[in-house]
Amino acid sequence: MEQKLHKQLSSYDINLFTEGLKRHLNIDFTEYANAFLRFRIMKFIDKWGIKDIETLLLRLRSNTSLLERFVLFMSVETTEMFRDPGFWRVFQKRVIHDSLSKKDSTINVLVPFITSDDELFTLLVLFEKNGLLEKSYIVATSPFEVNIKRTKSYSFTEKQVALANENYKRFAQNMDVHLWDYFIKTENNGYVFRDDLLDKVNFVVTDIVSNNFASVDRNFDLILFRNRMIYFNLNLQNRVLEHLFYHLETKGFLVIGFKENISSFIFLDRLKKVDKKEKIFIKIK
Amino acid sequence: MANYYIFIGGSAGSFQSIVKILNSLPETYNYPIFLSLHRLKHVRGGFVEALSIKSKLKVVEPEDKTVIMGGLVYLAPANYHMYIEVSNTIALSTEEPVNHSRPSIDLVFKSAAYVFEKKVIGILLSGANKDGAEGLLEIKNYGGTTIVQDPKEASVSVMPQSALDLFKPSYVMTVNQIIEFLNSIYI
Repeated sequence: MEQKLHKQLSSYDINLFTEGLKRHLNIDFTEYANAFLRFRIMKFIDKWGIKDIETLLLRLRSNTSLLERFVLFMSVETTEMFRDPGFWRVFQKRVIHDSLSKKDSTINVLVPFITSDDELFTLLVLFEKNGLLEKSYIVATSPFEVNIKRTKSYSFTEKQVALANENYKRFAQNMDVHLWDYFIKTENNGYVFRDDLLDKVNFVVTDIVSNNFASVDRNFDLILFRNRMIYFNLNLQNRVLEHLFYHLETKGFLVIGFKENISSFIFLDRLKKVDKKEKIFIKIK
Repeated sequence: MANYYIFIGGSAGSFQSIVKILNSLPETYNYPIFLSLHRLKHVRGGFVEALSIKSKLKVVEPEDKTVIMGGLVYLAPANYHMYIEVSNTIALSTEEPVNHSRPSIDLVFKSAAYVFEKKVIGILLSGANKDGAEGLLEIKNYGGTTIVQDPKEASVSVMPQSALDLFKPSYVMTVNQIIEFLNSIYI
């Protein structure tokens, strides 16, 4: 019977590590949520058989390939296409049908902090099906170039595509529909998302907080930002929201995750929830 | 800060036990209770309502960064992991499933062990996989109290038995004994 003590990383260890990453490698996780960092970093250390967090920092400083893997590992993928099918039904009705499809001018869309990114793929499917792609300007950003590379060349497993299909049927409330025509089978039995849709996306490497969208020259009618803030601490959440808010058009939509919380956001009174259940907000002033 | 933080994990066959435990605690029970139960990921509603039918305590599904309050029952939302943060808040995550489960019992137990140490009471009920066993050991290692439902009573014994295979908990109890214990620590 084994009873070993699993020593968890202390907040002190984590702070030293994230400060070191920022100082030496210009990678900023200093304001990520503490519990997430504690478990995620430990999981990476275990996975790669690294002795401890100090050794991890040293190895990241000298090994670019390991650093790339670390950044990808810390950028949690967004689980599955059409996650929460009920949400996407409301989104299609309230955001696409009731508003964006009635717009005559270009629809500007931002998907910030992308990772792999199933949310972006889902959006592309919905925009294509609703005939909005040709009049949309879609920007997807990440502070890390590796996330953009991963998104552009993301290889789905058959299981992931099957799950996307299952979710899509739930979304459409129709068992006869499918998404197989959005994927192309590769030689190694994986699937990639259709290039012609991905070509509609303008991928930008930018840190929204530190450079204030320096490389993004417009405001947006829709900001799709589900389940990304949960990895930030409250201070960073509010700063990111503030930057996003400034780049949201009046009457534009901000969409966040079902269980994300913006109750402490300073401009909350300038946002109005458009659905009882889903976290879809419209900027009212 | 509460004197105790009660964490209950369960999967297949645990629902009736959870209901019985919640229904047996008084409305003045002022320790926070956290439930990490394996549940269908597509069904986002209904669970809180089902648990609330006879519970005298308010059951809620927390949002990310919710401040922990005594006297509330926090149910981990479907398809999210639940962590306890050092700032006395609850954090959520969509990281990959652990032991095929999201929410994972191990993750919430381990994060609670680190933050609340000996104030944690961890309870593992009926279930069909080993999720929760390692987390419960972590609670023990940080000085908390660990309770495993008697596998002979559990509808599905895999989960409590996995914990017993890993270490000796503070108590092996039936659901009635767990209720008695939870009431006995409440002043």
